[in-house]
Amino acid sequence: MRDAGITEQHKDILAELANIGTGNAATALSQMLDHEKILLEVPEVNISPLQHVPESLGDPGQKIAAIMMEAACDELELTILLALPLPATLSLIDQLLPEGLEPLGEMGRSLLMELGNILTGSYLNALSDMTGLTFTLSPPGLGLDMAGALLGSVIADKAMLEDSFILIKTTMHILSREVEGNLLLLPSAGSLHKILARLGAQ
Amino acid sequence: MGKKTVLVVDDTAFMRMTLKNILEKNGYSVIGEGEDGLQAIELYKELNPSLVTMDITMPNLDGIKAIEEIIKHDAGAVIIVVSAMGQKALVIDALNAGAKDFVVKPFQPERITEALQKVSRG
Amino acid sequence: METTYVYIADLAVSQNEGLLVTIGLGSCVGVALYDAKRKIAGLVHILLNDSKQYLRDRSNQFNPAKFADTAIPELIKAMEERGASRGALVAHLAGGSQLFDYKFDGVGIGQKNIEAARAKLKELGIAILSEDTGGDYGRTMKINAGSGEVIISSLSREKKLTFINPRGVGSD
Ligand SMILES: [Mg+2]
Repeated sequence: MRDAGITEQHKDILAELANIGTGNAATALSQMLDHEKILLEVPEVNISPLQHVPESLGDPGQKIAAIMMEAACDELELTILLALPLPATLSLIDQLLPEGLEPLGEMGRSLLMELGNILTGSYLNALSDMTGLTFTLSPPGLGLDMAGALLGSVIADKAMLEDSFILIKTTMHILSREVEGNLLLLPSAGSLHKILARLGAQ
Repeated sequence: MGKKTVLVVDDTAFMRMTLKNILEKNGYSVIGEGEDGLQAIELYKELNPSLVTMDITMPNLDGIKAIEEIIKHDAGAVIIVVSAMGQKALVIDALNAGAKDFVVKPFQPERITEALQKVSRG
Repeated sequence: METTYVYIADLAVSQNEGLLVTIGLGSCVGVALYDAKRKIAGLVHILLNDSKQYLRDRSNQFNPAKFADTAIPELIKAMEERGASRGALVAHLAGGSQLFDYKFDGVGIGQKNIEAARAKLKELGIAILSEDTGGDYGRTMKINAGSGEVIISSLSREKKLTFINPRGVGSD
């Protein structure tokens, strides 16, 4: 997305949307984890050149689980990633997967996909309440690999041609487990202005 | 009277396993599992279950369209939606399509059994 | 040793003792070119297969390193500017995998990227000395300008491909 036209006010609005969306996603996650406390960081809204997108989750060589989904409404298309560094991935599987199943076997991988579906669904439920828009959501895709390779693949798989991207990232900390995960949104080019206008931006 | 039979439809194996465990612990018999809307329609026709749990976000055919098709085939089908997509418009769409209740993920196990008891009482 | 990192849709050239590294090739393809006589290495991290397919309504400035068909000529040009000889170049290919496991039809972009890179190299008469492509895991690619040694690593393994020139390819 061309950064022209995205103002500080727009970034504030997007950060507020992300805050509300992630708030609801964190509530869902907390419910799944027997009401463990989850702390949310202030969302970061950045315009990143393509070259630096693979670093947007930190070290591009670190192993993460990324669950990718597409959300859309009439006005907006979003790629959403639930990105979990390996410690968070294993910790969540440890708590949520019945005993005796292999952590990263078929059922563990399916659990990660469903986690992506539930957190993103919850995020969209909040966005829908706030904006009056109705979103559809695609089934999840899962990748377990280097963060940079996964992020590059998202850009390539979606044939995103922009030279810079709006990245909306919120980090969630599961306090008692000392692990963290991220929800990362990439709106597709040109699709943000209508939603910003709807939310009263100039 | 025998156990109530249930068809569980969800695209993720983990959610199907979770629902199956809850249902079987509570005296239901899960007689089929579908991974998408197309399988749901086929399995419904084949198995004629007393109850269906239906996801919305699935490949090939989504849950709301699958409900419409199942209701066309059997107006008396008893289907509850179990989905993370709790947006107001989608809940209304699902109920209009013929779903009897809507459980938003994540859920407490009791929420599923309560919903099934309520709808099967009619 | 001087290490130069090559970002996504980016290229770099190094001479003598330099090391070129690109981290995290998923569906992207890395093409390393080497002129053994002059110890000049080039590396490009390609995002997509075909510039023509994607250029229809673009107003942005064009980045040739993004597309296989334009990235390879651009890398050659940058190497020639440093004194490399086109006829001496040999190539190594890595990447083009499918990392995401999702219901999805057709040929993935990773495979298209590999095919486009191969086709362009063939068209330009540059021999491919090694290829580590496809599969479902990401790769990091390094080339040492001094030795021509290429190292491909993934989270689970490391593979060294030492440059050799068995057929005298490119010895102008
Ligand atoms: Mg689903």
